[in-house]
Amino acid sequence: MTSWRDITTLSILFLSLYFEVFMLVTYVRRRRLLHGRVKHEPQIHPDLPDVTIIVPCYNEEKTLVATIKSLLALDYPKEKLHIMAVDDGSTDGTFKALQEFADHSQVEILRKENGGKHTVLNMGIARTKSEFVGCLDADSYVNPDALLRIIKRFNDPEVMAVVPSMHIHMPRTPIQKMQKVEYTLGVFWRSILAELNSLYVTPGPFSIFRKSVFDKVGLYHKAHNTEDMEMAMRLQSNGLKIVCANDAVVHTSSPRSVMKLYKQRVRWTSGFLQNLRDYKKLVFNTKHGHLGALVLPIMIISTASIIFIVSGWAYDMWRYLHGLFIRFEALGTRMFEWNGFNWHSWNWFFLHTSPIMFGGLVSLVIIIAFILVGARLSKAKWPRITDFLWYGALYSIVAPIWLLRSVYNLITSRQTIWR
Amino acid sequence: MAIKHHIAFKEWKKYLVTLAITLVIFGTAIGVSMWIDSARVNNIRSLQDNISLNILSSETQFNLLKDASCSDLFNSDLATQLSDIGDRLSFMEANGHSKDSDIVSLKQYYYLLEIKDYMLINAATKCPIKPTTVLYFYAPNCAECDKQGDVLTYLRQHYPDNIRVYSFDYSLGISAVNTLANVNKISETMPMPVVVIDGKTYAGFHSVDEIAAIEPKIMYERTRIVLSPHLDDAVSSLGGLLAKSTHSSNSPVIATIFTGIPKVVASTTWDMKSGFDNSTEAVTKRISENARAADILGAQVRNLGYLDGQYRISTATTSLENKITADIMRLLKTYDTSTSSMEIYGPAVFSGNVGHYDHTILHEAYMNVVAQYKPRGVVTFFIYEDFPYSKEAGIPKIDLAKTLRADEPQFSYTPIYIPLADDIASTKNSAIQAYTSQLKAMTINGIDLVGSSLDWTKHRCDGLFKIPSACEVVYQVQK
Repeated sequence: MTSWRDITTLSILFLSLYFEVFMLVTYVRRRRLLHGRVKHEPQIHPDLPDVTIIVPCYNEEKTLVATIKSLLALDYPKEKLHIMAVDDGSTDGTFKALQEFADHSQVEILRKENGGKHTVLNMGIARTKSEFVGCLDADSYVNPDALLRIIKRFNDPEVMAVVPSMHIHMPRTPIQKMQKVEYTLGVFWRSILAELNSLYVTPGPFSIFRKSVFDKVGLYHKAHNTEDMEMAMRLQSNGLKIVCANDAVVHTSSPRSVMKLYKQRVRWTSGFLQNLRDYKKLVFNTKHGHLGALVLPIMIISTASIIFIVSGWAYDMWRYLHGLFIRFEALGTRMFEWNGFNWHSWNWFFLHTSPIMFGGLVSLVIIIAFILVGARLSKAKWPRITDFLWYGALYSIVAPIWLLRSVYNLITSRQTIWR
Repeated sequence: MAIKHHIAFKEWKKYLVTLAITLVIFGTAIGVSMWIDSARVNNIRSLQDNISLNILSSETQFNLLKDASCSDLFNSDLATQLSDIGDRLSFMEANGHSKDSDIVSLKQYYYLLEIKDYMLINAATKCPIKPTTVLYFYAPNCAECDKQGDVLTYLRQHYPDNIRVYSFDYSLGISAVNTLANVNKISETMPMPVVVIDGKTYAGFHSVDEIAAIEPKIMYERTRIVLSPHLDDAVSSLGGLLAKSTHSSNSPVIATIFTGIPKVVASTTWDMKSGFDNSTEAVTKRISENARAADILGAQVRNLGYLDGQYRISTATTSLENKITADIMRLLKTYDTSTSSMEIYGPAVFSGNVGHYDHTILHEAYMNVVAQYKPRGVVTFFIYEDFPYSKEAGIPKIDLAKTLRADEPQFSYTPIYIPLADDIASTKNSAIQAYTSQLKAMTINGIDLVGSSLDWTKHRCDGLFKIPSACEVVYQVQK
């Protein structure tokens, strides 16, 4: 119990428990408000403002039709909802697929040379005259009541941006089931972070902005290929309010394979870390509220912690393999001789117990509770036990790898590739 | 319209509330963990106290009975308990408690117990079936020591009856351990690991094969063969030893002599009382009862097929005796190899009119075997107290060794008391209950075999052990 490794692990555990309890306390205080939003059905009324949704399309011929159809199916007055589908220099049949909506009064189809998602958004923002503007990636689909629920939050004149709850669109592979649980936990995190005024990302799928905010803080930047994080941090550093409509649900397509997921996450995590470096004035700055005092410092510490803990596991694994090797050296093939089942090693005495284990158990229970609450906050069903198992098994293996790669990218200032 | 994000006082209070809750969770986690650790320390302490009592009791017996007692050396329970404590201590050390004062003192205590047990075993020089003792000195952070540890663990797990390993961390500088090292000519400069096998010191790593070359007995397969006159004598007399043997390398053998089915069908009083119409039915049923009992004990069965006394017409005992002698010799040869150790158990004879003539015939044949047999491997001969005649003869007031000496004066007979743990005694009891037909006949004759055997086993060694224990008694026969 006195090794430096144990002390570091205990400190990490203490900090993560502290953060979890902080989130828990916030949830307990705001639970009526958060769950109340879900119960309340939004109504269409004549005073609804004009909204433009930009759909950036880059080689998305297969999914974009369904995306646009889901937008057209939104409960919102037709004359007030404008869809701007932008082909960002696709090399496949994207533009052809878009022609399906050529005669649709609500849909405007544009085509430009390839320039990246931020150029599409900036073009759309410049062209629109709507009071509110948002974006929906061409691989995502909205619930019919999502926009009404989001627009309702702009009744507060201080609110500059509203983010939705995101779920995985039809999870099938283990990798997608893992993400399903992860996204459900994400719903909880974002709902609570919003209550703490600490959102640091306005996700690409269906975050809606007051258009005037772009006059104030400027247009999108390339921002290490994570323009949605940079924009949120820019709003935060200007003291502008981002809230979460946990009751507004968007479904997004997710990587089916480990490699695709790995690439996506390296882009996200590298982008987050590199943007954070650009906005380091936010960190440990109580002028920026809980975001500066707690949330961002915890994010940085947890990145370092996960690397530390995983290195520890790797070391344990090496030690174990080394021990097997020593046994093989000593005994040769005799080590494989079966000597009956050793019941005595199942004695309570030899169960591994430590403060780290008990604390970790409490932490795990709290996380599971967060996931279950996350499902309730976004009108979703609880994930299945098998989903949880996939999450536990895969996340603990895959997540550290993309994290390590992202930290490497941060140190070498390497830029990720979008697709 | 920038809003102020400064954290209000009310919000700062939340940081403190969170801190308080986190501290409570954390404190509980540490508290629970410490409580379990202290339960572990207490567990080791009570195990050690128990062992210390056992060792003290062995020592006392040893002093009382001089070198005649091998009882506790006969079983490996003590060794198992000692190594179990060793495992527990290593577990505590591996989990960061190596510097706790409790663990350090428990470890010293443990080493003293090991040394004591080692001395006791080596003092009993006349004990026939003595395990090989290995002292193992190691140091931390020594790869060769890890290898040596793996080799010794392997031997200990596969041949628990043949080897006792006593391990010592030489780097701790515990004075008793240093003295033990000095006595065995181990100097501080010697590279670790060092093993001492039966008193001889070997420095450096030694593989399984190298150790087997130094002391082949360690890897001997041990077989116990109990010669039984009738189909229930071995189990009712030595059921405990047979049940115990299942832990050793080979399952024990019950070789029953008088198991033949008469060609001329007969009807005897005894078979009638047992509930049988004729001899064919009786013997067939008794053979299957015996097989069930052997199953319960984990033993193998060999039936030699001689006719039971009640079915025999000829009274020529000498020729029968010689035939049985030859058959037993033949049987033993099938188990006797140069890499095995055998223990053979035959029935006793009693003074006066106590006993049964079939038992006497087998006893005489067995004594012929003892006198004539030239083993290839390591063979030890024993005589067991056959129940219920042992009780009838007045044992333990009567000294059976004396009776045996009067009968065959060219041998010496050393009593060995085999303590039986409760679970072993109850296994024996359920094996005896497999002989339903014989129990029936006994009941008609007014004998409660199950009850009286249980009682006999339980009290046979009263006053002999410091901690009262059920037991069985055998006598080692030496030329």
